[in-house]
Amino acid sequence: MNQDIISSEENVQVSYTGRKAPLLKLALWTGFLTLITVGFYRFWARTRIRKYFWSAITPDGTPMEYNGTGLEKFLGFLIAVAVLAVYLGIFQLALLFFGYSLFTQADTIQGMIVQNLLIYGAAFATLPLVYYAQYRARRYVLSRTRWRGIRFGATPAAWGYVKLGLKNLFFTVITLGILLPRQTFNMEKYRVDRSYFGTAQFHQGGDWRMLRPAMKQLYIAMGLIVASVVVFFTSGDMSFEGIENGEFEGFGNFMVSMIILQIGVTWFYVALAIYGVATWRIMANEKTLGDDISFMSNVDTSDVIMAYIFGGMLAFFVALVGGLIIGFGAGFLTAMLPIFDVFGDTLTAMDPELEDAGLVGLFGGLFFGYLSFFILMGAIATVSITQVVIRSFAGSVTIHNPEALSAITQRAGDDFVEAEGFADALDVGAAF
Amino acid sequence: MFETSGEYFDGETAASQQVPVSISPNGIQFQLGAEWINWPMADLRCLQDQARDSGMILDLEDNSEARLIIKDRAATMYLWSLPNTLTKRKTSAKMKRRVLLWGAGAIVSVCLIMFVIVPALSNTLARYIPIEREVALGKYSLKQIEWMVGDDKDLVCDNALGQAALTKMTKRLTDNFETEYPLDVRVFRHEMVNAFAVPGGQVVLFEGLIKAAKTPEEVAGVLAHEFGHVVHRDPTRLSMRSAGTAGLLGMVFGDFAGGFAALALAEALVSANYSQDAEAQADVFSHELFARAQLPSRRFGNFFKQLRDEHGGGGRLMSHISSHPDLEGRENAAIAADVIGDAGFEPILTAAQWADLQNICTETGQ
Repeated sequence: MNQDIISSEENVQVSYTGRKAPLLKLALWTGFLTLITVGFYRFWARTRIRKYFWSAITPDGTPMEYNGTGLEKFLGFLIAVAVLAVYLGIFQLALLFFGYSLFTQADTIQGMIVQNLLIYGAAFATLPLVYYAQYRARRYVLSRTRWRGIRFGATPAAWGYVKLGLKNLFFTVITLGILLPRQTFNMEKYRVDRSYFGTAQFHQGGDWRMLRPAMKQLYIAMGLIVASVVVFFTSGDMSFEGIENGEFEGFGNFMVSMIILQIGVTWFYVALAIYGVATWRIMANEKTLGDDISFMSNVDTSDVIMAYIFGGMLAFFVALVGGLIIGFGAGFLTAMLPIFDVFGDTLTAMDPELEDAGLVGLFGGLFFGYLSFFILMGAIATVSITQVVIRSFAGSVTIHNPEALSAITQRAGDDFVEAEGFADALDVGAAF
Repeated sequence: MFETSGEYFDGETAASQQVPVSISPNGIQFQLGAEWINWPMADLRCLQDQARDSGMILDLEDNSEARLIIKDRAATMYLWSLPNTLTKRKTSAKMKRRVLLWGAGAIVSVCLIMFVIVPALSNTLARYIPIEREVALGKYSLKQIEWMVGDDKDLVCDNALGQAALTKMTKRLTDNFETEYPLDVRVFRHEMVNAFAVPGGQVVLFEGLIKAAKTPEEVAGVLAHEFGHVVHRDPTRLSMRSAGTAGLLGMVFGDFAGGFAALALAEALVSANYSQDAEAQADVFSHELFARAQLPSRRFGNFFKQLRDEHGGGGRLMSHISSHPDLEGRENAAIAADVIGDAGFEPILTAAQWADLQNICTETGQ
């Protein structure tokens, strides 16, 4: 009895109730529907998976609710295409023109790298739009999220977010990443301070300096990458011709720089994940809702990283084996179908390369296997990576003083016509 | 009739209220304070794709603020067993109108960019790329093609006698037109019946094409056609159009099947479109060039006929010439453009030189 009072009135743990089998079934089915609709079911698929995840996150015994619709997302896509197609088409051509016009010393590896840097650098011109789209997408998702019948929401403030994001990114870049925690914190604070549950406002407390310890592994990784670049540019000018013939100066330096770079880049990705989890935890502990509700998270970094590494490998290899079995199975079955004997002559007449018309059946089956690989990988990753990560984050949260939640009242709805269309079009949408 | 209990949220505050619930074929009634609330069966809906095995969250079709959670398995099974519209959510007329309107807008926008803006912009921008950049770009793409086709083998055929014949053939043609591009013709050791031009004036003939030709004029005809592409800057325009279109289609199809669908479709669309006018223009160029060089374009029309007979007119994806549309039309155009007729002409290569060219890929030059 006493324990009950303490756990339910002082602190309450958020639980995650999702399971593997039902989610896998849902992900496979929606993946299959996406395949047979040449990709157009993806809006409904994404929405259904999201409903599952949201409903599994259960603070204080009541599940969350996602009530966006697939049609809404499809409409957002149509709007994004109508508005952005012309922009993106022209932009891409301009980028290409820029790239071609600068195509100078492509005879050396260094020259090629410089060109690629320029081309990718130009891609940063879309950044304002990216920040804009990300803020809007988050606002959409919040407006479609409910708990106990009460809506979440965010105030419309996307342009301010663009300004803040660009300013902070500038400082991050010119300090070679040292001010990254400042950017992370400022942008999160901007988002959180404009978020609501019903009429209650969220607040991000703390200060960017508290995120600095999370940078440690990133510094090490960046050090390795810088070292590899230094070694690289001491390895002399290498032409493609020379590399083909295996004769150019500084081959040893070149190899050493490549090895250091490989380690540095791998380290960088892991460090980025560590940074992401650590900053999420530190900032979660400084968030409050309304006057007296606060949060605590003890999310475990290694759980998340392991989910990416082992969950990713699992998804890839199972999908690979599955795709091969399905591909060859379907291929041999269709190749043996009598239909190809009937059409054999016609097919051979159309294309003399197809001496054996059964090959058409075999290749058809293999192509089906190729597509199955993508469905399987996506579906398994949803269970082996995404769900594990969501479970780690959501399940780590404790709500302090949940009693105060009962007093929170409803907020007005947010009619959001374009949904996440822009974020999806720019490929910067949420991971799930 | 089924009696159970539920958790009710009124949609106004986050407070939870335990309520007695009675389920009947007419709908659901629950007691809130002293009052009984009625949710009629026709308006009753439940949330779907939920992460739980039993229990359900109910709301109403038109007022989606309030929620009633029923956890008792027997009660939910009873509710499902009744005639119900729990999973049938209506789409509002406003939403349907919006989808239709924006759907039309999206289609117009895609067509506009794909068939008007990207082609026009590629044609214009291609003119402003400096020649030396185009040459560098061409060298780079040629390297990639070599790497893709060649499996590390040395692809370029260049034995001295064959090369001399090729140079003679090239010169007879290039003496008759002006171009700012440094022209460079080479032969790749591959059985494909194909030829192509990359940006910057580099033209590649495949060994298979030279072997398939019956006379040197047929090879020269293909070469003249490729020179037409070079002069019209077609390779550069084409690659710009592909890039512009692929990006757009990637957005339409998402990363469906690893982006494969969008890329394949972009290639197919652009090359289909490209053939329509660029190929015709290159043909016209080749006919004019043959006339100026005092060569019979009728002879190269024959090549189309021969290929049609051998490949059945339909054609494989990889075969350059047979994949061009309407072989018969091209053959007729080539014959119509012929200025030599039955009069004699100086062959572009002697019989011996023609033999040398056909053997350009053999090691000794024999």
